[in-house]
Amino acid sequence: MKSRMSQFTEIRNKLAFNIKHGNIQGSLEVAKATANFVDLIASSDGWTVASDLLKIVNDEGKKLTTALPLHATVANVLLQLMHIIRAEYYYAVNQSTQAVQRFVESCMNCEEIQEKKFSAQCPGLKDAILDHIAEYKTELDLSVDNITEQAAEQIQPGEVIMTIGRSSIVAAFLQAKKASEHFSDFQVVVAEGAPQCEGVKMAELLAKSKIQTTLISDTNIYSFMSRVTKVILGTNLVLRSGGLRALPGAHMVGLVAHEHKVPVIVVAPTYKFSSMLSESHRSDNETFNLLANPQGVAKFKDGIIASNVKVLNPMYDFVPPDYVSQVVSNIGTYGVSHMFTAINELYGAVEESAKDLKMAVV
Amino acid sequence: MDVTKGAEMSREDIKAARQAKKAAKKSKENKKPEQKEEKTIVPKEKAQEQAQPKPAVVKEPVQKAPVEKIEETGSTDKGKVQQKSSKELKEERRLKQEAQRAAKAQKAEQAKAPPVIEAKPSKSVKAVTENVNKPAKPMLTGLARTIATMARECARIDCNPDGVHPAFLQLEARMQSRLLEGSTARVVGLMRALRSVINDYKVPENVAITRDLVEHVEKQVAYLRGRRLMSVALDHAIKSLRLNTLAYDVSEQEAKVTVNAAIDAYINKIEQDMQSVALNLAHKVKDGALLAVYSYSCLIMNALKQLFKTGKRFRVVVVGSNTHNGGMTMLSQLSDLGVECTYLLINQVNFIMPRVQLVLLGAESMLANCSMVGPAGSAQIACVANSQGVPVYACCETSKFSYDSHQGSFFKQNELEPEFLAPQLKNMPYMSQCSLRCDVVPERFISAIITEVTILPCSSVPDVLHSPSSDTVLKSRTT
Repeated sequence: MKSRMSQFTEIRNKLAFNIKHGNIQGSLEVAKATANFVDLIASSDGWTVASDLLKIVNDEGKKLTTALPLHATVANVLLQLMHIIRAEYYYAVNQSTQAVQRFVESCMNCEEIQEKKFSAQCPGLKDAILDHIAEYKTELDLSVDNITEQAAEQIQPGEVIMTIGRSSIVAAFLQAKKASEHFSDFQVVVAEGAPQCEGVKMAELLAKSKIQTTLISDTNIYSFMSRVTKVILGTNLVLRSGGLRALPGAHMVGLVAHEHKVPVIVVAPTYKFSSMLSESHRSDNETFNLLANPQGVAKFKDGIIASNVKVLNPMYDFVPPDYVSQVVSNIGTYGVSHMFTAINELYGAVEESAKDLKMAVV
Repeated sequence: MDVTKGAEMSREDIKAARQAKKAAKKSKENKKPEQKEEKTIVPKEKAQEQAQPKPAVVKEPVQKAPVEKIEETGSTDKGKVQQKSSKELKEERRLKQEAQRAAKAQKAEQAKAPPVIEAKPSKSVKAVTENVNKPAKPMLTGLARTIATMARECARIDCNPDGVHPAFLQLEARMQSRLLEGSTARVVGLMRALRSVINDYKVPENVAITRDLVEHVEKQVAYLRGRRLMSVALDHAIKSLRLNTLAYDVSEQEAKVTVNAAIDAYINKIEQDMQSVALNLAHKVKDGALLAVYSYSCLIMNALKQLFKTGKRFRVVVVGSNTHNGGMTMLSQLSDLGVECTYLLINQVNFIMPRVQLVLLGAESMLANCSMVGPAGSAQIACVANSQGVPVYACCETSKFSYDSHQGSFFKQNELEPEFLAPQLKNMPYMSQCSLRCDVVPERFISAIITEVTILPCSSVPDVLHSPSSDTVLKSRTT
């Protein structure tokens, strides 16, 4: 047993290293890498019964999330895959899809999970699980395409759309709408998104796709909002309450949009759906937010001033669910009030599994 | 795969669905190059269908044009296509004319401009000639067009630096480069520049001094106006000098003495006003409070200095912005004082807002519809503060109250920032950039205005403007 544990340990450490140091860029890549890792565990010989597999995945997953507390994508993928394993087991035992549905519904109660021991021997369970994991990986690959298919309905001609910073999914969304019909006449206003100022790259991307783009400074968001008809945001995470953990400035955009009664659409694939409920304890919550290098806020040449003061550079921003109107994901569009149920269904027994993985639940 | 949906389907169906998904993914990768070919084929067919019923004479040019037009603009109406081509020609002609006009103006400036500004004209002449050779950019619509029109209007104003006093040229340069920032600081700068103008002024022979002096000063101010640097406070300052009420038979020496005295009095008044504002602010700031300030304001800086010297201990959060240095200036001056400071950018203000007790905003002016004009970004900060229940105080002397009244930030005097956000993308097609200098903060976000007289609610602005005790001179509308 120990030799097999060390086999996964090395791979797990390498994965954590790659993610932490940016060798794996972007949430999609991180999600794929995590799915590959679980695939590796599932296809190894170290388990015979579902409960063994769940235990191994849980242990490895716990260590992975401890090494990467802020990369919630990793935890989300793990939660999803563990749910898949449990569902497959339940199907294998009961051989009927109705029973599976009942099982999934009953996942709302966590005690049910604890009752199920997952210890019955099921022939063909391994193949079924590997099959399902492969399907999940295909889903990950198709996630951007599934989202951009919905672009045509979400954006109407003549719209003025605002966004902040750079999100590759939002860019793909807008480019898909532009490419879809000849009469796609809409404009995009991109806010810079200090301190990273990724909005500049986003504007360049969009202008290259022949979308009429206007690049504005973050200080002008309020001035321009009266002329904007929709806001489309990318995000780091979608929380269970329907709120977001997004880049700094997103809260401000959402608030100003709320003031002007402009709808805010969030574009997020399922691996960004998180078990976290809210951003409780705000700045003290270590798993929610991080104070990054102040270099982005106060330049080095201002160092003489900056050495006597506190310079803050929080990495993320919390957007409350009141400011968001809907979430467009690869499994469909959800209203914000439906997010709680949707995430519970997606991950089954969220609170129990998340606690096992030492992920934040509240 | 959503397992709940599998209730109705059997195991085989699920497997079949998975196979279909895999096949769809593979076929998608093969389809992409094919789809592109299909798209280019379709418009050509459409063009041929259109060209057929038309007379032969018009056939050729129409056939060529729609192929590109459809892909770009999506217009399939033949009449529209013809109009657009002539419109494009007009655009090109207009661009050329503007380029030539700009080149002329640049040459005129080149001869007279002081060394500070000399570096600019040669670069812009080059850029202008390059623009003429480039093909016309795609037509702008909607919001981008509004911004481009504003930018063009700003640039078109002809301001000739001939005969402008070097003190004013220097003033303009300092204001433009934001060395001199904040409404009050600019007024003081203006007054000082005006003093050197008056001292160097020599009355020409046989001309009434009052009229000539007024014209002379107006000429200097017109240069600033042309550069879009005038504000309400500056206008009021000039008017308060009452240059047109000097006696007819006064000698040049006496006139200079009178005007200089008026200038000194005004500067004194400004300083007194700043002290009064500081006293009024003391009512609102409690010991140990955490204040938030945005960008640089001479008035607020002075007030906080006074408060600190009288022994009040408070902490400050300075909110800065990426586009200008006001925040850093404020931060350096406050930390030199010894105040405990924190600094962040406007995007992150939500992070600290729950801890803040009050927000102080420096005002450029107060409008007659009770909204406040401030540096760009003030509206957002006021909005965030409002949502968290934090009171927002506007600091503004009554001399900055104005009869103007507009909604929203796209008003005529609101100039666009000279520096582009991303200068490397300046001439990219389909791209426009915009950075407004001022913001209009709606009345509902502001809790009170701290003036030198007293602390007023926003709705009192028209009362102050129309009150019998207010300066009759200032009652004339600002342009």
